[in-house]
Amino acid sequence: MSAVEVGNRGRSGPGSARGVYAKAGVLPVFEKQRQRFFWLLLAPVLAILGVVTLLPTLYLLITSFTPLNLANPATAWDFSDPLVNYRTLLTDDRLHNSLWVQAKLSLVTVVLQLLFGLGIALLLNVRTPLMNALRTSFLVPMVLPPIVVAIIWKVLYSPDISPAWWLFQVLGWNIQTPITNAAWALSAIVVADTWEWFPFTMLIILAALAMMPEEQREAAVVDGASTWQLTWYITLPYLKQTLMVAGLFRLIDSIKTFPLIYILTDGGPGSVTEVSNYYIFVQSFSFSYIGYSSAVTMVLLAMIVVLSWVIVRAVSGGSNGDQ
Amino acid sequence: MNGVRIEGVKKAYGAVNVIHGVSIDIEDGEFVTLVGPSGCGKSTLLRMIAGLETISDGTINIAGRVVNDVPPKDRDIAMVFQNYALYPHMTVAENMGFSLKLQKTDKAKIKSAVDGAAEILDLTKLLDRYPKQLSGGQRQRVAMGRAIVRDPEVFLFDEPLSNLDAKLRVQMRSEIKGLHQRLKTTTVYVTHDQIEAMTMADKIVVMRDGKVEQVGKPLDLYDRPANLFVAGFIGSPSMNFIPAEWTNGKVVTQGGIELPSASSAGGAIGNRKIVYGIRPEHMTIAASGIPATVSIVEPTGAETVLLLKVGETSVTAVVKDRTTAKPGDRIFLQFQPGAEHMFDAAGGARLS
Repeated sequence: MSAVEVGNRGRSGPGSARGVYAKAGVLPVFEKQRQRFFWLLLAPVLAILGVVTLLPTLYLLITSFTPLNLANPATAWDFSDPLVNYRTLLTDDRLHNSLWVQAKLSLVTVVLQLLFGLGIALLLNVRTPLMNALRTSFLVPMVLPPIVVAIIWKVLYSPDISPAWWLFQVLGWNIQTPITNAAWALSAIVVADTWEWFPFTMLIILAALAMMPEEQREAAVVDGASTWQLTWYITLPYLKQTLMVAGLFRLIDSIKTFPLIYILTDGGPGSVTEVSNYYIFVQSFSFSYIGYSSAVTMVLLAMIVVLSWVIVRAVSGGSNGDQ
Repeated sequence: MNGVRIEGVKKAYGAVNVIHGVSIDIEDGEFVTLVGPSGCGKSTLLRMIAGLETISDGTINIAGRVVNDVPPKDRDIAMVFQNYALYPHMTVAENMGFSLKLQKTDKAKIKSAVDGAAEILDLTKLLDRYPKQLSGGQRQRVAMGRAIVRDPEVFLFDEPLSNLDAKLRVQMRSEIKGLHQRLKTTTVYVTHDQIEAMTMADKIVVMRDGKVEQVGKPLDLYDRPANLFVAGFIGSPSMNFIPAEWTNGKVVTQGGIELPSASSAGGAIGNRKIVYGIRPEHMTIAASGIPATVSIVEPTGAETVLLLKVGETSVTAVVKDRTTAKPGDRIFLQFQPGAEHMFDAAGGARLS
């Protein structure tokens, strides 16, 4: 709660002064000068932001109304049937499958990441040098370049070179690699993705735990709570908001999954691991259907915007919810 | 014996000793305050009674049982924290019933216990509210309600009023005292405010630097402080200290002013340097007596506080009568006979 609250309080300084003047109907000269100065400072950032994010998005939107195909550059400005791509995507089974795969992957990985992140954060929330070292080592998967993470798991899932399969062989187990098995390929991605991103939820939960008032725990201990009861009745309710925010962040990020799928399965076998993001990549760069993939991207973008809006609501709602 | 017995208790964090062998006997049903300046170890001692801090040495005995190795939940104590420590996601009723819920008490029993405590504390209308919807005083009462519901052997209060404004503090002070008179539960109450200690306690324990300076009834501490520290700590405004010399039954300040001394123990004291203590309220303005110069006059309505100079020493006097004295005036003071205290200038211990 405090960060947001402090932010609000910080803003109320100049804001409230302006409020007083606004009521009077005129701004004094120094206040106008100050505002002009603020805009002057903001202008370069706004300009750069516009050029590198807004313009490309706009171009994407425009392209989504054309049947642009790189084999035929003239199609870049063909607006004869602007909604053709959007009509196509309504009946594109492979796209629908990719959305379904995406939903399964996102939900399962987010739940697993929250569970692992929470569990490990609760275990690590003890301030000793050993725990500090452990905390840092748990962050490794998250800070590795995603492509390296993908390669690590590619090695782990390749029976010829995998230490895991060496162990299976010693134990006499005959196990097929999951990444070429239609029934298990998505699970293989889930495992790798969970490994890569549970440190993120863990980190957020650890930060929240560090801010939890010690007296609340002590009161519960005196009230007679065991460790389990303390976690269930006091700590988890305290973390509710944090868990929701961490989960939503991961949900949005999970829509952008790419390196794991590109390296591990190529969307296969068949299309069992083909998420929407990967499908867009295939449409644009394997088939050169830039116009169509732009339309799909716009749909995905709309979904992310909605999710982001939910996050913002959740975060700002939390600021007056706690204590 | 019931109550709490603390024997030779020590606390060390690594090589740092914060409590150096404290022994206190708390009778069953007694209201004891631990008072002292911040850092004196009073809160640490309370937390050791609660079981939130380990005991480095010595024993703590609650209701006839040594509890050194007993976890907090099995000590039969309830604690009220400085910041109330209410559970923000639970209603007032849930907060108060939480400990019973953990004991798997049945719902009807919890409800009647909570309703009973709410009745005592005037919280009945607030039972469905959340802590964030309550004022500071109400939160404080909920925290006490949480303790009452458990019906424990001992109540522990850790500076419970320091987050309240002055007026509410006075009100809650009498509420807590009234509550104790009604429930008669053994209570250990930590505060840094000597007025709180004086007004509420059956027995006060004055602590400094991890040691007990004096234990006694409020008025005993006021009338016969054992040393300079207690003398200065108890009473408001604090006792005046005038450096002086004891020579053959006479007390004379360094500036040559003779101070009245009715002390019967004169002979036993022997000639030496002393600190002469006199409380501000034991002085009156008179036509003759000890000469003083007025520095500041502070009328408060009921009484007037005078800041004076007696020789080189600053002295405070509180007089009931309205006075026309102005800064710079020379006046004469009379000390109430027998109200003086004498302390050894070297060690600070009480003489006589």
